[in-house]
Amino acid sequence: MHGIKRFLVLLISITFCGLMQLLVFPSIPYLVAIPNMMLIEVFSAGFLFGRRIGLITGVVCGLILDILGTGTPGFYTLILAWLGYGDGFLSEKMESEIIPVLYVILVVNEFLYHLYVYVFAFLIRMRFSFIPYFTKTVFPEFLLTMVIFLVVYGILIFVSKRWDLKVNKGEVRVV
Amino acid sequence: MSIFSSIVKFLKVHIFDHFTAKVCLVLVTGLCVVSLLYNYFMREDSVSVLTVIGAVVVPFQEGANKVGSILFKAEEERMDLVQARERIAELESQNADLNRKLDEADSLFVENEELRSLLYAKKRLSDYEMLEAEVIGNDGINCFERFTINRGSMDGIKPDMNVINNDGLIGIVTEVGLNYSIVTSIIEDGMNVSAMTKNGHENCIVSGDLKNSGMSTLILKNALSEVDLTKDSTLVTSYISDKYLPNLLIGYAKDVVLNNGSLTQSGTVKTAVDFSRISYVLVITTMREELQEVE
Repeated sequence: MHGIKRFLVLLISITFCGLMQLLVFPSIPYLVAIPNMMLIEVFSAGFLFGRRIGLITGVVCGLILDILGTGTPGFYTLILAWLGYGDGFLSEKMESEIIPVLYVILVVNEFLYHLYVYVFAFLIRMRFSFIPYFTKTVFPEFLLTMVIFLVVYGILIFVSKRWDLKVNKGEVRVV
Repeated sequence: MSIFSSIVKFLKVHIFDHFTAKVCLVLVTGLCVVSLLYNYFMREDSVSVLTVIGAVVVPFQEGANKVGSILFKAEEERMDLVQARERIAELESQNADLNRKLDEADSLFVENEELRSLLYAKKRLSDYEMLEAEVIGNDGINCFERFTINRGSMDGIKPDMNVINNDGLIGIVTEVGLNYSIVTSIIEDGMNVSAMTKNGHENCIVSGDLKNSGMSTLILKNALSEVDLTKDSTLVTSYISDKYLPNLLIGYAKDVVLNNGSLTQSGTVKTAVDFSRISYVLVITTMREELQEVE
């Protein structure tokens, strides 16, 4: 029963995040950057349900990005799978979750993600301009991701507590 | 039922339990790396998995994009359109208003310029009595080869009176009605004017030509070969004419060549008056004969 509920929660949240990232946010006029919804989803799944689910979520989200985006198959899958696994691994080791700590981990996630994208999408083609890439694309995305993360993670925590799905029994505190 | 559950149990014990997260991660990583390397090295001639999947996914994407555009873009564009239309209407009315004012100002400006130049001409040629007149009709298509002015015998106009404006000689009155008269300009085909150079007083003939109709250009004939028309190119009416008053500016000699026999030279004359636009003229009421009588 737990499995079905978890599956439902993941299915709905992945669909929601995918739609938001690929459809809703790009259509909103005057938005500077698109928050990285898939990363939020993978991060949340990893922290809520452990490394196995984090890995699966990472693979699914990465495949969605690979298929609906225009890239090489496996490009996003690889990094998101690793991030999901790593987050799950971290959550299993952590006693309690404090929001600032989560933020730090999210920032590290974002940084690793963008470093990966930069190295394998730009550096490999001899594009060395990291600073413009960082200031124009990465930094606005960081900020937006921070804000949206609270909403998504809050909803997921609420639902999984209600249905008693959470693997890591640590308490979520603001400070 | 028992067979089914035993199969599930067998699968779980022997296969699924081996798929720990670590194994899965290694598998996923391996698959991704293989896919990436395959795409990186075999890019040109490989049929990407994505092209196959794309055939299924793209129609869905298009539909989704349509939904997205209905949600946001349409609203945005509608707002822009409403604002743009309001702005256009506003600007159009403003533009019409300004255009009307500009037209008024333009016509006033042109009228003012012309009257001012007539006044100047009148002062300059103060030896002669003059009458200003307005052009009210034009026989030619573009150029004023024959045109009607609004003065006639009632105002004292007689045939063969010279017509000028500020720039120079225009032509001669050929027909006179009660309150109108017709002026034939010097560019009309067959009109001949006896001309001379302004400084040297060397005579020549300047005549209108059908070929140059509409170009404010005259034919120059019978200029003696000693005259250097490149140096002294300004041509005025000469003293030997019986119709034209002397010293009225005709134009400037151009393209002068020596004729066969080296006795005379010929060329063209660019008239001082722009015959494509004439709206006010001066009629010199002093006649050539009167001038001779006085002399």
